[in-house]
Amino acid sequence: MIQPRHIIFATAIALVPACAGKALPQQQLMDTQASITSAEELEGDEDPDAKLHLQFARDQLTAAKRMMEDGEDEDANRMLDRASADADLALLLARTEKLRQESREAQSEVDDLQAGSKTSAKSSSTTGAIE
Amino acid sequence: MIRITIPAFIAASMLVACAHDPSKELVAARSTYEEAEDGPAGNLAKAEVYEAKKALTRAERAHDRKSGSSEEVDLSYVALRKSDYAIAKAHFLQYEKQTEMAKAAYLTTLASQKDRAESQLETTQGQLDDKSKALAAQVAARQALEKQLASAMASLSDMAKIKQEDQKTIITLNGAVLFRSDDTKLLPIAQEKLAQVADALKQYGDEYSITVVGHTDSRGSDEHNRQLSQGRADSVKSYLSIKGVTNPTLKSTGMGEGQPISDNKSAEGRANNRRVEIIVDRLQTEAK
Repeated sequence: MIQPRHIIFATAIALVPACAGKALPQQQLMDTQASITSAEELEGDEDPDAKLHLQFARDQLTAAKRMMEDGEDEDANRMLDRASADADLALLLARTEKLRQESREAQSEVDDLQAGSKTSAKSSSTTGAIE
Repeated sequence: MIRITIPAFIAASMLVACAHDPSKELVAARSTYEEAEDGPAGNLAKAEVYEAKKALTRAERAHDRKSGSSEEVDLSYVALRKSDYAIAKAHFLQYEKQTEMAKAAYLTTLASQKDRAESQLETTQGQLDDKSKALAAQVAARQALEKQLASAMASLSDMAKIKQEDQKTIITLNGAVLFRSDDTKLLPIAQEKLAQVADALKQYGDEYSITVVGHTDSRGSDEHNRQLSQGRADSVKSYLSIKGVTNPTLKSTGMGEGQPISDNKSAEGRANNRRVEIIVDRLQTEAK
């Protein structure tokens, strides 16, 4: 599942401490960005709630980085917590929407099969025994 | 003075109370947590609800330390999202279960359809087998009958001729072998031969009719010849009955000299005309 964009992103994150504050937890930063990327890949934009929290996560991540550059370490960390919570939620909502669609399709397949089964049972009963 | 200061004091203490009110983020975090804990997430997503509870506790502590602080707002915001997450997780698990059930139902339906198809196939196969067995039995019975008849008649070749006309089998017995001149009593040798004919005739079921027909040559009066031929046919019929031919249609008739098969002018022709025929016919053919 590791895609080139992940590698590029990880490389970018590794370079962050050089220009941004050192207090921002790198693992949390990477996890948050990874959740955002995954939610985007799941086409989270299709679900309004997922789309909203995805946007919150992006904005708050940007804000956290800016705060860190401004030396507001504590606020930056809390803003990253907020971004992280929104990113996790956006990803879960996107996955839930996918699953909801899958569930509906699976049920529809069962309904089709059972409808076909009734039709064939009816036709075989009218045919009856061979003559 | 007192009357004025008391309401003022109450108003002042209300202002102080307002300063300790939780932020709207904390209010939202508390109510969403309750929603998560009391809803399906309370059972389905216990770990996530627990995480939400820890986040809410951190927000409450921040509120206790300094009400309205940005720390309280941020921690409440995170707590709110953790509760949202727990609720969403419950939805996710419910859809997951629905999907699994639908897939299982699909497989069950497919399996039952397969079973039904196989069972129908077996039934059809069984019916075909029964029919082909019955057909084979009929063919075998028929072949056995023909074989038995052929072998019985082969031993009668000196006294009998067998002719097949459509569905009819006509066994022609030489009159000289069966009877003395102008007599209706069967000769002993004839009885022995007729017993073999009877064995063959017994093989025919009730779907066949058996008719014994007596014939004479042209010597003597018509009336005498008719009576003679009837008497001889009756004798043969009686003997066949005694020997076990129980066919319900078994009957006898005398045709006299009316149906010659050879010229009555020669001795050989007359000998051929003196005969008894046993006609075996399928009843279905008669019905037509």
